[in-house]
Amino acid sequence: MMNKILKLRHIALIVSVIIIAIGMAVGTVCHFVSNGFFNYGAEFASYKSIQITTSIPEDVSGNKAKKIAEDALSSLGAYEVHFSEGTATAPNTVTYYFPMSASDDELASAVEDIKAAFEQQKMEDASAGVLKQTAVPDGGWQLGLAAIAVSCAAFLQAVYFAFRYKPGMALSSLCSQATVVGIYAALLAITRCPVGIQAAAFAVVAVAVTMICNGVFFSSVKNAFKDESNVKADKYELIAGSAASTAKVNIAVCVALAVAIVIFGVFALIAAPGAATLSAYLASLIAVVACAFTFGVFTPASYGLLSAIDKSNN
Amino acid sequence: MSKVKSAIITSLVVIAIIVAAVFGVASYNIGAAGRYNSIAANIPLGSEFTGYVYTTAYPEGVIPADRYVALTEEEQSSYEAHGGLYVNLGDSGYDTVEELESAVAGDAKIISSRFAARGLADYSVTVTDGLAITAAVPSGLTYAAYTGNSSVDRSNALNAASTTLGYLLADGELTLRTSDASITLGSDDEDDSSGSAVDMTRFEDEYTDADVLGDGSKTYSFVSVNEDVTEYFNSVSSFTFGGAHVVNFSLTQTGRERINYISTLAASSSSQTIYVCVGSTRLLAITCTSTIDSDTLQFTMETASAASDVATALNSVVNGGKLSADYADIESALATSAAGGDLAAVLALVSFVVVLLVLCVCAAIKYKKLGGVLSMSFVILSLVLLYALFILGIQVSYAVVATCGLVLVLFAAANLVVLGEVRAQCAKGKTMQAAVKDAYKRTLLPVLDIHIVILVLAIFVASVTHGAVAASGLILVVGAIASYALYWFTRLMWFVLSAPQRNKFAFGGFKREVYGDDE
Repeated sequence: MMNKILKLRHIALIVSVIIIAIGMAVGTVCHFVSNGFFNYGAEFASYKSIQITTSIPEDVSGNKAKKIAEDALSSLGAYEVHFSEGTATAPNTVTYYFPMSASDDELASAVEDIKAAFEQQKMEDASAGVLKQTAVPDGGWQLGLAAIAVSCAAFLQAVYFAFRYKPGMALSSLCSQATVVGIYAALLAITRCPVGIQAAAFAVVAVAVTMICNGVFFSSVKNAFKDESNVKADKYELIAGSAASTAKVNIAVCVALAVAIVIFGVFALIAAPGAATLSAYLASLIAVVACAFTFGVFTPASYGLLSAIDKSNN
Repeated sequence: MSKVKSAIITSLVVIAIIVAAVFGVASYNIGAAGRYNSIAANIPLGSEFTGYVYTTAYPEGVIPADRYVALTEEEQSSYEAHGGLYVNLGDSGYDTVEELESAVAGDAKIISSRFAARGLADYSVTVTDGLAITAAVPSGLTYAAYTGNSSVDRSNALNAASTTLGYLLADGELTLRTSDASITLGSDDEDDSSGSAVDMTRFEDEYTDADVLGDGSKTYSFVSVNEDVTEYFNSVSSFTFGGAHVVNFSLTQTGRERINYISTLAASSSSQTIYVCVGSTRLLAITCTSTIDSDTLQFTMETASAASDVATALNSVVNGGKLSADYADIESALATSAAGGDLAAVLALVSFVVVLLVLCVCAAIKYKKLGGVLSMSFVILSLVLLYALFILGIQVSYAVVATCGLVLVLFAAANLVVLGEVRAQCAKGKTMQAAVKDAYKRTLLPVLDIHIVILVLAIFVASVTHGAVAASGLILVVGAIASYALYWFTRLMWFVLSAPQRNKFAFGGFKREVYGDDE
């Protein structure tokens, strides 16, 4: 398998570039015709909400408000629901969050139903209304800082690998870090998975996992090159052999991560059923896919290519 | 090593793990009134697990629906509906709704930049129907506080979050104030004769009657309305050193001279206090017993959070971040339910335990007794992470949970590399002890490599980024160090456990075939 990947290393690299290019293209198109390069999550996105308030004397625990809201709004596809218990100076508040694409007419109609329910129950202090919440765009700087930190760390890893192993391995490792982030971003753009600040953290985790697996792979390659019994062996054979032997560790890492994410996702769904709950887990699964592709295919292929260039120069 | 020694060491380690695990995750009632809340229940949680605290700042003349319905019909007639809000332009001080919207939009950007500078794990700032600003920060509750099992912690966390919102949404001029209407100068004052009185009422301004101190008393600015106090300061920052949480003011030359004068007045006053206020929000009360003459001023505060809130708000105002619209006083901040559902936190812990169990079971099935040793290390690593989260006060979000998973992956990868090598050595016919010894020798540098690389990454992430990502970096630093330490601890435990059964058990399906090769 690894031999095949190494033989088809050009294609493997081209596939990586194509995935990234498609992601960039989809993101760019969506930037102009849809909701942005990425489908930004709740932290960065504007939204509509229906806010229902009831005074404490009329609705001590807020249960009436919750019941009325549930009856009128449960079918409208809110992606999040919050309840805030009232205080001496503030009423009970139930807030249903909707994407900006939600129909104004449907929301307005639901609010009228709620107001009718208030009248029926003679709740004079209660109120309901549709609010448009426009996000203040500023989350980019946080993503930027995360990118700077990861870039610095990837560069340092490359420097470290250049001294510890070989310059070709360092370069290949650096390309892997760039590729894993590129593929992750491309897959997020293509799948339109909601991107919150957590997605930046998952990018860091993806780079870290790639660093771990690259470390295991290059150490194996170095040992294979050093082994006196391999002096006459073909370089590609050794790289393929190392990739095959470390693939077990790398596959185990990816499978373990994927299983863990699924377990967390299932329990999160139990806690709060709904598509919004899954967005963070979906982003993390995409990160795992990017990792698996990068160190399973890209890293051996890119190092194979660099070795070939090195060989031809010699 | 004898069997007895091996058994004693193993038992002690297992007992320590069990005790740490019980204190770590089990909460229980003690007697009728008391309750022990576990370490896990005392870790601050992110908004996914315990929700937000939010408030809305309404400009003068703008009210929400619940306030509108409480008005009389006559009062309602002066308001116009604007989306879900109601606006009375006469009270707002703006001629058109568009002008007010523009001012609010500008203010929202300033407020958002304040929240960003504050370095919170997570926050949101939105403009509501163009005319109000809603800001939310994580409640920062622990699970015990969220479920009502620690009312003091709940109250403290909600107060801290409300204070953060109050300070970062502060609008108005920066003023230095006193509650003393007249100040009798002491004899050490150079400008005024001994015993002369300074009438502070001449500096009455729009905030004099605002209840800045919360006791209904008036306050007066130390300087005239025309003087721009922001010119006194270059910047305001905060830091924590040796357990002290400090707000640090860097003064301009003008500021140094004026603070010298103001502190002389304050030291002569009966309250001996300078109140640092933004609009009607009092941010800091400086006790002043003598004249201050320095380029920097440093004041300690009770908590790092409070110091950071004050420094961020003041630094924003000092550097041109004054809000343009006048906002009504914020009456209350409300806590929401958890975004991930009420059971999100406990189910996340259950998920982690399930993942840990799966890892342990897989290790034990695949590598038999040595897998059991590895499982023990997995549990210890998880407990180290749990206690580190508690001790460092890291707010746990999805990102932090993912990072904890990454630490387990790091540890698993390091051990998989070793186990693979042990298996290879066993396949060559070596004894267990020889195989383990050889495997550790051969994998020494690769395992060190990956830990160094991850540690460097973690340090960069922790020091360069903010919020949830920085928190992830911090726990990754702890995790990388713990992983490497436990890697050697696993080696030790293999030695302890395998010593009494020298040459007697197989590893991962491979049985020793060649005898007498124990080096």
